[in-house]
Amino acid sequence: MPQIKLQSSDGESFEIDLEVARQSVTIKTMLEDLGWDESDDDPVPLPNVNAAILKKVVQWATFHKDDPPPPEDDENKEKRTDDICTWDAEFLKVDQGTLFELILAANYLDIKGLLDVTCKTVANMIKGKSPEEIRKTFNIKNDFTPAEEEQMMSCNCSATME
Amino acid sequence: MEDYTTEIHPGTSTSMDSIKYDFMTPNSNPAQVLQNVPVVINKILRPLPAKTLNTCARVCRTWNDLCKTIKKSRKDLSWMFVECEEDENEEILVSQIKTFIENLSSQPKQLLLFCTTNLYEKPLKVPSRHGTRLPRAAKCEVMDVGDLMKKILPKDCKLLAMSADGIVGTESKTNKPVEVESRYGLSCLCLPQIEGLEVYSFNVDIYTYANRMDESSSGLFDIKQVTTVPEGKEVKAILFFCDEPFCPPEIGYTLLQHYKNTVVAGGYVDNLISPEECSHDPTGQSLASLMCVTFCGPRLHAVSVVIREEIKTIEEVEKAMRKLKDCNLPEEKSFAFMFACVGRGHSHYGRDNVEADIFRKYFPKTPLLGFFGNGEVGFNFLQKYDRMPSQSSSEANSSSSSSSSRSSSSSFRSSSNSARTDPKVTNQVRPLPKLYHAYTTIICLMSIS
Repeated sequence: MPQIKLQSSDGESFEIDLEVARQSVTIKTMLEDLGWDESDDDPVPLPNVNAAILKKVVQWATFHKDDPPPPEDDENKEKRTDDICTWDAEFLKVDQGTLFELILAANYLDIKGLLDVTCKTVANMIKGKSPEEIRKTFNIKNDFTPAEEEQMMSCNCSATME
Repeated sequence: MEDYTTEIHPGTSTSMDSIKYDFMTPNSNPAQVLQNVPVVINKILRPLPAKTLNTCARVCRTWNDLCKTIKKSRKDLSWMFVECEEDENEEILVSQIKTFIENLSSQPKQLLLFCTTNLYEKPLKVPSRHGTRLPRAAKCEVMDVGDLMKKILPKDCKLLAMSADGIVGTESKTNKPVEVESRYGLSCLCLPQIEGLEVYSFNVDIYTYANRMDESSSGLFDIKQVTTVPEGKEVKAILFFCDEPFCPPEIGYTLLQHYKNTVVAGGYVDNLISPEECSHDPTGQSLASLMCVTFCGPRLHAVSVVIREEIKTIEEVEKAMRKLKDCNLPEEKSFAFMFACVGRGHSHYGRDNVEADIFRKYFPKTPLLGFFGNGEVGFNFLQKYDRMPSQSSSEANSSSSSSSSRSSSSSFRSSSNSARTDPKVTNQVRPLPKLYHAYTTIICLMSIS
């Protein structure tokens, strides 16, 4: 199995299977553009991912290396957030900072499966909460004016549809 | 280093633009990501149901914009069906309905609901808003199905609900259409805001109409006084629901004359549950005895077929279903209604679900809803769907059939087609198809192209 070296933003090198690395569309494209071959020993620099997060990403990609390619996003497909596998749920039991770094890393590295599952995890944290509870959970600043807030409260929505 | 990476894979640069690299420090701040990285916020919000998006829209400005965009992009039709036995606790049924509404992906503009009369008459115990947080003895409100739906639907969603002896519904998970004749059942179809589809409903108080008929001998029912369809809109289909057995037949025929080239389908139900009032009556005194739900818009296509009284074998029902199928309506976004006589169903075929099963065989994905009522309204309207409308009329006219109902419908069709192209002949007397039936089943198929 050919190996490839990845280098994190803080200079740490990771040697992983090429097949695992190729789950990242960003790395895959980079290698194709560079005309990379097995004899290349130079590490692929990943300036936007630190060692701690890269380690997690590699761990995830290694576990999922035999997964079928994730389906394209389909607008008409039933939207679900409760289909996170047990391994992923366990894997994502991390603090909020790490979860969001994983999201950014998955987005940068273009690993659809990882981005899907991390975003779904956040979506599940949102479900069932009030706007105020959501702001508190993620420390989001309320940037509405009091007038706008009032207007939104009086909009024609019932209790259940909010 | 940054310049280097951007240069070698420009394809990813769009998603990178929105990410500021200082977020990538070990203390990456969730709030910053959730307020400043639209790609990610979008990805997070996208799978959430309409209800949660409404909540999220109130979190901050960025979310507000994104939620609005996501909601606008959603145009899913949704449907549900629930049933239970008489002695079963209705708590499960209530929670199933709530869960369905809460998890709707698209916010409904109209919700068409058919419920069995025995369920409508049953007082439902609904836990009051904070009931879930209190112990077992939590407060319950008692209400009927109509009130329950009004309570949980968004206020700008129009509830069009009725009850009948039996209903037809389609379970959303298995997509199996089910005819309910003796149990408790409820089925509904949610129509979101879809460009190219407009739904207008209006109620008529038959008694007011009947009184007017005595005064003026014209005998014509003045649709303009009751309709909510804006002038000039082309009506493609009218669903006709009446809870007054003595509804003068002129009303139906006037609809056919006033709205040219439209499907009319429906029947006599036990109760019109919602809306109860007549929009044309400023006093709000008169109660509806007839509800018309009209479907307009350039993207809506509708056809209908009557399964006549004498049809008793599967082969004959299949033949009727094939007529609908041959109209070639796009099935991707389609829905269908079945209005059958209480005398059909099990007692007619000797077993359950015959017509619904045959419908499913020919239309594997289309949800089927409707009721078993006390008389059916409809006729064969089998206009073929074609991307090029000019071809469809010539094709339709060239098709010949020995069946009497078929030929009457095709003469209606060709005359109405000419009426549409030439305004001078709009007042010409057209042969109207027979609209009122007993012991039949009407199937009406609609599709959004």
